[in-house]
Amino acid sequence: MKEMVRVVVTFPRGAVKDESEYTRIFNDILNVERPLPLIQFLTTDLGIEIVLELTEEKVQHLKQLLTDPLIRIKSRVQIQWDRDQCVSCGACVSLCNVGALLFQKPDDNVFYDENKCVQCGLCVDACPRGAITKK
Amino acid sequence: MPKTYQEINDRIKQGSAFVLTAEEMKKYVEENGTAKAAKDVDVVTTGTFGAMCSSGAFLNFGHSDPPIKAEHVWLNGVHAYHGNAAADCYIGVTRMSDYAPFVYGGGHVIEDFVRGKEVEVHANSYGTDCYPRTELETYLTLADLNQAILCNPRNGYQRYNVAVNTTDKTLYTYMGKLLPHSGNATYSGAGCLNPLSNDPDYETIGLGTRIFLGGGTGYVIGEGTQHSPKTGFGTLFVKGDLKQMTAEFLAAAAFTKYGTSIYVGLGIPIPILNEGLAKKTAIKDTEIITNVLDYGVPRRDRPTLAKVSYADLKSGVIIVEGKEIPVSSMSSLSKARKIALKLKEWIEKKNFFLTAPVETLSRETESHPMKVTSEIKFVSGFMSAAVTCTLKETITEVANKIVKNDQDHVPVVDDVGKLIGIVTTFDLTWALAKGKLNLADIVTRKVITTTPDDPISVAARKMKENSISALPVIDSKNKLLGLITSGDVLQRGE
Repeated sequence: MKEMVRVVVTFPRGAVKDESEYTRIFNDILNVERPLPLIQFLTTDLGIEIVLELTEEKVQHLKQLLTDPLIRIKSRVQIQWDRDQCVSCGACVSLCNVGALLFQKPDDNVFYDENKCVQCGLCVDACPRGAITKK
Repeated sequence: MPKTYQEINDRIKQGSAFVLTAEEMKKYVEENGTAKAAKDVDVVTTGTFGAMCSSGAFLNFGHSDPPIKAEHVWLNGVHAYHGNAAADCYIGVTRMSDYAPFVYGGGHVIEDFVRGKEVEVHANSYGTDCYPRTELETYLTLADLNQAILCNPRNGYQRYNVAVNTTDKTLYTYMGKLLPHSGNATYSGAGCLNPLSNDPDYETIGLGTRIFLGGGTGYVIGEGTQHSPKTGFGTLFVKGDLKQMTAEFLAAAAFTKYGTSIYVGLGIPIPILNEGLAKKTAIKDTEIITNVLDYGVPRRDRPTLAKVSYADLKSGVIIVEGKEIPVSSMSSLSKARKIALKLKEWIEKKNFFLTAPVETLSRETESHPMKVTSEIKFVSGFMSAAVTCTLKETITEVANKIVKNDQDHVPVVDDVGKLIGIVTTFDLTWALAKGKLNLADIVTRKVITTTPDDPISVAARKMKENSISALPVIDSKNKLLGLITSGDVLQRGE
C-alpha cells in the first residue's frame, strides 16, 4: 500500500460554499470518478480549509492543477499535546471539529486523541497553557 | 433543628462530620429530601478554577545591604508595581514581560515562585540617605521571601457570560479564541459547583470565611470588586499565603493576542446550618441560567443572543438563533471538582475547620459601568461624503474623479447606492502596471466597513488591524453613507 500524506488546501473565503460544491470542484479538477478521501472540512477566517489524505503522487498532481495563488496547499503540521501543562480548561475543545480534543468522562479531564486529530492546527494558539504545540 | 458552626466544628474534630461535594449533595437531596439532608449533612464543599485577571501578589523581599528603596522592580523581566515600601512590591498577573509579551507575564512569575524556581529580581532606584543603593540584581525563590500574599479581588463569580463571535474574523479575547460566524462558543464557571451559586444569599460566605485557595488555605476578605448581587453577579475578594499553594491549583495562563493571566483554584465550604441551605446547595446546572453574548460587538453592552443553562453548556452544544454551536469552558470543571473533593478530604481528615463570617456580604449593591467624562466620539461626527463610482465607469473616469476630488478611495456602488466594492489609488497604479483596462478587474469586493454609530476607536482599530487607511460608512442595509479616513481620525478623532 502506498503511503498517504495529509495536506491542507485553503480556499479564500467565498470561493467555495459548502462541502458538496468542494467535492464537485475537486473532482472536476482532478478528473477522478471517485470522490477524494476527504478527512475534514473547516471554516476559518482565511476561508475554507480542506484536509485531504492523498498519495505523494496525487499531491504533486494537485499542486500542478491548483495554480491560483490564493489557493494554498501545505503539508500538515504535527500537533503535540503536553499532558503535564494541560489544566483541562477546555479552551481548545469547542475548536476541534473532529472530537480529537475532548472532555473525558467521568472526570472531565481534557484528552487529546492523536488518532482522531487531523492536524488542522486550529487549537494551537487557543491554549492558554502552551500545552499544544506544532512540531 | 438548625446547627451551629461550633457543633459542625466539633463533629469535624471528632471525625464524624458528614461532608459532601456540591455535586454529591444534589443526589443526596434528590434521594433523601431537604429535611433529612439538612439533618445529616454538615458541610457541602464547592470549587471553581478559572482565569482571574484581577489577581496579583504582594511580596516582601527583606532588606539588602546596603539597602535599596526600589523605584522600579522587574521579576523575570516583568515590571512589578513598586509604589509601596522599600522592600515590597506587587506583581500583577496581567503585566506582561518586557521581553516575551503575550507569552510570559506576572502570572507566570507567580507560578514559577510556587514551583520553587529561582526568579531573577532586578531593581533600581534614585538612592536616598537612608537607602543609598541604586541598583540591585539577585535571584530569589519563594522560600527567600518574607511574605508572599496572593490577592484576588474578584473571584467566585456567581455565573459568567457565554461568548460567541458573529463577525467574519477570528477573534482572540479573554474568553479565548472565537471562530467567525459563531463557529464556537466559550463559557466560564463551574455551574452547580460554583461557591456563590450554592450560597446565593451570602448566608455563610463573608469576611473571614476560611477557604481553599490555590492549594492552600485562604480567606474571604470582603465583597469582590464589581460585586453585583442585585443582578446575580456576586463576587468575592480572597487572599491566601502563596507559600502554601501548589502549581496544580494555581497556574499561569497566556491568551493569544489578549495577554497573560492566572488560573486560581478556589474552594469554599458551606455549612448546612438549616434546611434552606440544604435546599440551596442542591442547585442543579439546569437552574443556573446565563446569557450568550456577541463578542463580535466591540462595545461594553454586547447584544444577548440567547439564554442557556449550565447544563446546556456542559453538554458541549448550545443552540443560538437556530444554529448548533460547539461550546466549551475556559475554566476547568475537572479542577473545580478536584478542589471540592480536596476540601472535603481536608475536613474529613480534621485539617480544616469552618469559620463564621465576621461580616456578611452586601446583598444590595449593584455594579455600575464606568462614568466617562470625556465624550465618546462616533464615526458619524467625522465621516465625510464619499466620491463614488459605478462598475459602468471606465478606469480613466475613476482616475479623473480621484484627481479632481483629491481622494484616495472611491467606493463602488450599484444602481440603488449599495456598496459593492472599493477602488483606491493603489488599485489604479496596479492596473497601470498590469495593463488592466477593465474597472471590474481591479475593484476590491470584500470591503472592510464601519457604521455611523461605531465609536471612532473601533473604526481606528479596524483600519490598523487590516492595514488600510479608509472605511466606507454604511447603514444596516449596506447603503453607502460616506467615508472615514485615517486622516479624519488623526486630525479630529483620537
